[in-house]
Amino acid sequence: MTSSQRTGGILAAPTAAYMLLFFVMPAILLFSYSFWTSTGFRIVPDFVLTNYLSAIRSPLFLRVTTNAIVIGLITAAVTLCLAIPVGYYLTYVARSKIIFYLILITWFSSYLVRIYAWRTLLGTNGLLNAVLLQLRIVDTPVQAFLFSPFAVAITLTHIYLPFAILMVVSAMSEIKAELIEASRDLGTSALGAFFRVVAPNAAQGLVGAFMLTFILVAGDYVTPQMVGGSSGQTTGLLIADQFRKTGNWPLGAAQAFLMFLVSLLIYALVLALGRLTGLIPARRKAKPVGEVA
Amino acid sequence: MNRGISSETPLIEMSNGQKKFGLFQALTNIDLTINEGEIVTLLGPSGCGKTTLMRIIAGFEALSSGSLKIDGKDVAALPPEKRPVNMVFQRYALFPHLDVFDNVAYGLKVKGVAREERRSRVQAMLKTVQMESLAHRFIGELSGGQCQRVALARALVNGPRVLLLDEPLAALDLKIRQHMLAEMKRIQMETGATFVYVTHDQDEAMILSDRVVLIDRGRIVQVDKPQDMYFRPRTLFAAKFLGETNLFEGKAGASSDGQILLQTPDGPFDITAGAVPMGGAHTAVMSVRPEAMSFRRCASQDDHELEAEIDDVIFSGSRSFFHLVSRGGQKFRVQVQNLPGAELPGTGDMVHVCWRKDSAIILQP
Amino acid sequence: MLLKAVVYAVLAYLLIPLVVIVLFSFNAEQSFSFPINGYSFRWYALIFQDPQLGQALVKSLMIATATAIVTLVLGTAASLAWLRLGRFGRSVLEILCITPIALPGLFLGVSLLVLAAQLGVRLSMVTIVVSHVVLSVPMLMIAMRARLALFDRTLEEASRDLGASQIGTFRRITLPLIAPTLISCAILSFALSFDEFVVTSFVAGTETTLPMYIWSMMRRTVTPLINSISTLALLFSVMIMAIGFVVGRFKRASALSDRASS
Repeated sequence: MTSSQRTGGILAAPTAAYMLLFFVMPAILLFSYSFWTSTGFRIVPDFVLTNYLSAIRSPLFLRVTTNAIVIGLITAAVTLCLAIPVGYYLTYVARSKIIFYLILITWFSSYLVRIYAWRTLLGTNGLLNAVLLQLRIVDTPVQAFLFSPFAVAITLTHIYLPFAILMVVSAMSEIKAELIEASRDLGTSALGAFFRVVAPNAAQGLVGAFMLTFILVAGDYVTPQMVGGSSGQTTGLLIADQFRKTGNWPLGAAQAFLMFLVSLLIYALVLALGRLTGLIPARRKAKPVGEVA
Repeated sequence: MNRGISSETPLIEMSNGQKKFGLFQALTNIDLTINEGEIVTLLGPSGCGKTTLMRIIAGFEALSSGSLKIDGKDVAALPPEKRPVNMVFQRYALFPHLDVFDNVAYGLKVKGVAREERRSRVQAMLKTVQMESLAHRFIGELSGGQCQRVALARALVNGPRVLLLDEPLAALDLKIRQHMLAEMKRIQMETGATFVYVTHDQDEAMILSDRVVLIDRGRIVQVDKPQDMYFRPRTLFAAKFLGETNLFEGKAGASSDGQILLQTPDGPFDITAGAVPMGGAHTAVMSVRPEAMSFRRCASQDDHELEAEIDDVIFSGSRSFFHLVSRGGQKFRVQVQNLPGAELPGTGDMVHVCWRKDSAIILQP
Repeated sequence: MLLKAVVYAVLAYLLIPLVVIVLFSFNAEQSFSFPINGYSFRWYALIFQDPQLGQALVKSLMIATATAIVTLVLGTAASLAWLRLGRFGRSVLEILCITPIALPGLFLGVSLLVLAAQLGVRLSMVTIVVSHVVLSVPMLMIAMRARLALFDRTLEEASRDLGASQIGTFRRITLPLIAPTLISCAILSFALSFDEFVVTSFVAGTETTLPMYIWSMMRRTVTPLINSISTLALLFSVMIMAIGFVVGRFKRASALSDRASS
């Protein structure tokens, strides 16, 4: 170890300690809580699988978890499908600063404000209904806009799309435009160039964007609750309630880790699917011979 | 050359220097003395250890074993900032948040030189490198050649005993490179500093240096004046690395008058320069530079002669290059100065090729 | 052309809800109608008559400031460490500091709540700041990593070679070069903290931050008052972005000259 690395270690210590104490340790603690028992108002250290078992035996848990996964998958897929063309456009077609900053503004505009905006737009007394009524397209306000899976998806996509676009841009910016030009020159169409050149090279970044969106969406319980009504009940809400109302923390912890496990499974599934379809290269290629040394 | 400045006072002395990076032996048995006022080039292919050697002198790396003295003092324990050396970095490493003047003033500032003295020394140095009119430009606004001048000035203003230059011209165009070489020689004359110059470019090394230190795979293979290095290489590596050469392989034996006689498919050649083990199965190589050869019959006993067929002719302005194959099957090249109206042989011609015996040198393969 | 159409459609989708909020914050009437019948500032006037709102705003500002400061200090040390560490050390630091971004706020919120309960720490503004720093360090590390990858370490060597000590080199060379990115990261941490809701709701105890106050209003009624608060919050975000942008201009300039010199 060189002296500069030693200095580096010392400098890294405060931040590393902070994250160990306030990120790693709480996660471990939460994990051990999932094996503890809750009796009345007290939580007792223990090692039982009761929490996990009662979680997966509960029809409610299974229903809301399926709901969370479905909402997560749909939203992540839609988000990625919208983020890719925008990312492609910003990387290769026009490096428009204005578009970029407009996306950043959306990203940094308040989370709650954006939920509220969609409630305003879609509600029974909302803007969409007001417009439709005034234009006499409908006679009575349409109830179905808000508190529907559609409302949940459109709002969640709106919330997580800017971040997904930024991730796609950063994944694509590592792929040089000449590669696309070369592939066009060799006879592929624009769309073909995307699937044959951009997608395989950006695969890691694109899968990362999809998964991050999925995890954040599936764990978001505020949005579904606010715009989804009864259709918007997700695992997150259940977990949050365990830690607030009911107070069975060990059960909530077990539910949280089950959700985490589901995310891991879906990640593995997405990777396997990508490899099967050939969109993700199976292995990273060895370095070209010339680059050795 | 700068014979007038260089003296015989040793300034940098490294003895038995070794450097290991993990299992990799970067430098082996380095014994090197650099005298005051010299321009010494550390020359070698990339990855040979020349940059490591320079970084050890600068203090950014430490020797694994062996000793390093600068000005008679062991500097092993001295950090870079305490050594009487300054460095010009390969990509200049100019501070992008400071302008030209502040970059050059940096070393004096951290040493606490008073403002007035600082100003006058920086201005004088900027004048030396002809950058005084751009003193308040930022680094991003300079061309490669200008960056080079600032980097030189920033190092030299501190009055270092030794100036280390790490491939300083590598990032420049050919034309600017030639101009900067001349500039560096002028600046060295004016300042009298000792220059240790790292390069992989043999032309830079020969144009600039008083002495060349040739390094191959972590070892010093030869230390000589450029002319001696070129005309009297001591190893095949040196002959091949500096300029272009033709190699004729054969078995070495002793001739009647005690000289080396090389038996080749094209007949025997007696050689006066170089030394190799003789007799038995010892093979050896004769090296002859393409420009030492010409198309003519031998005039005297002092020449070697060969018959060959011309395979290809490449015209390159002032010179022409001929690719030939000898009767013995040996491929080689001849370089001829082009003069108007001169008649030269063409492809397919059989010709006699002649060179002076003393331009041939025998080497171990 | 199709691509361009898609891009503009996506932009419209992203921006229309925000525009609607801003527009209706000036609506003179209580209910929605299209087109708007009259404009007024009455909802903005209401904001200043709500003392609880003011308190929440002050608390949020204090929390965001503290978050930005702590993040800046930790981030500076981590950045300097990152420059000096080997491949392994960098990976450890990155895993520790970037992973939280891949976890839902809910997960971080409940785990910090559990920690506080286990340690017997009372939930307060301090616990809020602690949790916000956990959220903003990953963002800072991602931004800094991109900047530091461009950082030319021979600049530090050059400074040592010219006679500056390690600390002198840090003060005169390293810090000035990475400061613009650090400052824009601190500004972003401020914005992130100011807007944070999910994690806060677990670790806030009895404290009420601005997003929590807005949340409670949202749950109670649909009132145009929320439009005006939202518009101000949006304006605030844009302002912070603009500050970050101006600082970013300096950052770009220094990054450009870095590249020119390398």
